[in-house]
Amino acid sequence: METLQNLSLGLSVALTLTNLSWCFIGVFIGTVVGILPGIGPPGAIAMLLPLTFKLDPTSAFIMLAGIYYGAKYGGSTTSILLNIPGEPSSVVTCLDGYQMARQGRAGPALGIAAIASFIAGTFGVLGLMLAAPPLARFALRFAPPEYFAVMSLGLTMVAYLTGKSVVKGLLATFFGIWLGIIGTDLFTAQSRYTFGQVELVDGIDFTVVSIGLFAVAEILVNMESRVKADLFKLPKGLRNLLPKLQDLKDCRFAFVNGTLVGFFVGLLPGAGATIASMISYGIEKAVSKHPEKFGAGAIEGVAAPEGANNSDAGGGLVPLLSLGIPGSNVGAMLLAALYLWGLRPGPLLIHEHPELFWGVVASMYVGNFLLLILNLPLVPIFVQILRLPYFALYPMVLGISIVGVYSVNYSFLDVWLMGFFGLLGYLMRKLHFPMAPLVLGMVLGKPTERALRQSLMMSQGDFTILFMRPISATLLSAAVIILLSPTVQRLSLREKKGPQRV
Amino acid sequence: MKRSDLLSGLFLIGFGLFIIREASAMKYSYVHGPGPGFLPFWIGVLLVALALILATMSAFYFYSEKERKANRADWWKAIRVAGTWVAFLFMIALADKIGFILSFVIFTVFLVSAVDRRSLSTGITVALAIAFGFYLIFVYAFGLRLPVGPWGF
Repeated sequence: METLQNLSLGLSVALTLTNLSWCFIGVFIGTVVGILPGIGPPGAIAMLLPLTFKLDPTSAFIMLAGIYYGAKYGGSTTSILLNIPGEPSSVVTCLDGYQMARQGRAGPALGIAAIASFIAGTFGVLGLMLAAPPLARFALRFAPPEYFAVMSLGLTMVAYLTGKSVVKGLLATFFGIWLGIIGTDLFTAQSRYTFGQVELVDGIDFTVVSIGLFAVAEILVNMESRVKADLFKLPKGLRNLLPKLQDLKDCRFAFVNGTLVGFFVGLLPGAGATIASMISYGIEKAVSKHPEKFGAGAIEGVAAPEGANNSDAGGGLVPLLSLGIPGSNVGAMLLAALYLWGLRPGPLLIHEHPELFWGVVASMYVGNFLLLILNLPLVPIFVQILRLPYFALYPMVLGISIVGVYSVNYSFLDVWLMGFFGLLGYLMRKLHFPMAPLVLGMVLGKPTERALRQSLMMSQGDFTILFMRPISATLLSAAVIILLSPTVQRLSLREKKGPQRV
Repeated sequence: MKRSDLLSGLFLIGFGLFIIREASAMKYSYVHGPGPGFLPFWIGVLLVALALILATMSAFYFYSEKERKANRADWWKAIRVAGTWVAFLFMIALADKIGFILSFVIFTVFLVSAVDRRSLSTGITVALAIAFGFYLIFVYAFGLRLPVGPWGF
């Protein structure tokens, strides 16, 4: 009953003309970003972040969240029509989606992707609505040691799950934490690593780092080679885009599979939509009566991963909005946005700003419906975006990046730093260092340090406080187990395998 | 041996040592708990330790033939990326002196015509169109103060 009351509050917020407009703008930009290969939601959100400072936080969050889940819808379009994933999470969709397009079934492939995304996305929001408030209420019992433990677990999981190497993940995490603590010390007001620059006393702005790492680095990666591919022609008319009744029947299990896998994988920091879509594809193939058709144009092979990567958005927002722990690049950016707008992310967020949480939840229901319209009858219009010449797109993105960063503090040092982080992001990609741990480390650097130092002040410097309280002891033990698991695995397989990946 | 990991590891060892050196100039602890140097010191230590592991393990890595082929340096790609990045930095430097709009036009012409090998007229058209769009949206509509040159734009 309380949930329904809160949802009606959310609908009253989301259905105002202003917020409906921001929701539409968000999902529209998200779809465009999803369709365009090489420009991801982290880059788009990073570029738009400075422009949201003048907005009401609820409207701004509705828009940014719209980009986040909207991109997941758009990502399937290029996977199906070009065999190029618009989003990393749409990689699996290429396997069967592109084959369907080659067989002249591009329409039903796009249709089932949109329908699966809508069903799983909507149930993902339902999961968010039901799971986040109780989790936040539970987290109200947390004191600094528990906060430190939960943040440590989040950072560990992201370092462990993103990328192939735990060592590189941890290196990125600690580098990110170091970036996060640059500036004035929270307790003593001493400057740390400011190199005598007054502009660094408040630390490095998150937008500077994120625009550099995502927008600028993405362009540098894309400059390596020209993207050129032939588009499949889309059938005209909505009827030809809709899957047949038999297709829908074939995808019944895929809808459920995608929804559940996506949501629960989304809850885990670091796992992400790509892993969710791969797992759901694997399950779908394993339980299928005709697994041999997978990879050759099975419609379930499109529905399951597309459902999973959309349901993941709802799951990913649960730890972000209830605990203040993001699980991905985009999550870290949304968390940073909350800080930048002057809010306090964490268990109190839902209690202190119910209009924000419930407004965003309600807007996601609306947004998923808008996306269904955008991605079914209007998909032929969006496909035209793929004809936009990249040589015009790249300078545009770099120009917006400069304007975005400069407009935050009107500082040229920020713009130079963005250029530096652009190169760093490019090198990290080439050297296979994961980006998510760095971003998450930067966002959580100061809160983690604050929680640790407050804990140690509580115990007069005694570290055992972190292991004497049941919740923090459990969470830290989980973090240690996660960290040690690759070593244990490696030792047990040492004799069977040759040299291991680093 | 995986040379990229070895070099990354060595660089990060040096970087970690720098963090430790700077942290040692800060107070490590107070009577009631850790000081401002506490976390940076341990971040430095962990960076050095992890970078050592990375560098050491890189020595025991053996490339497969497929990886060896994939890792072959493509200088043309490198030149395109380096050219874009240097031009980007040059635009930032120029923006401070001649204004954002003009420096952006020069950068875009270079990017389209030199890096992407389109005709000069395409470069100029694209540059002017985007620069005009930027001026219209950011300066005129949003009222942002972008860096201006001696010509007032």
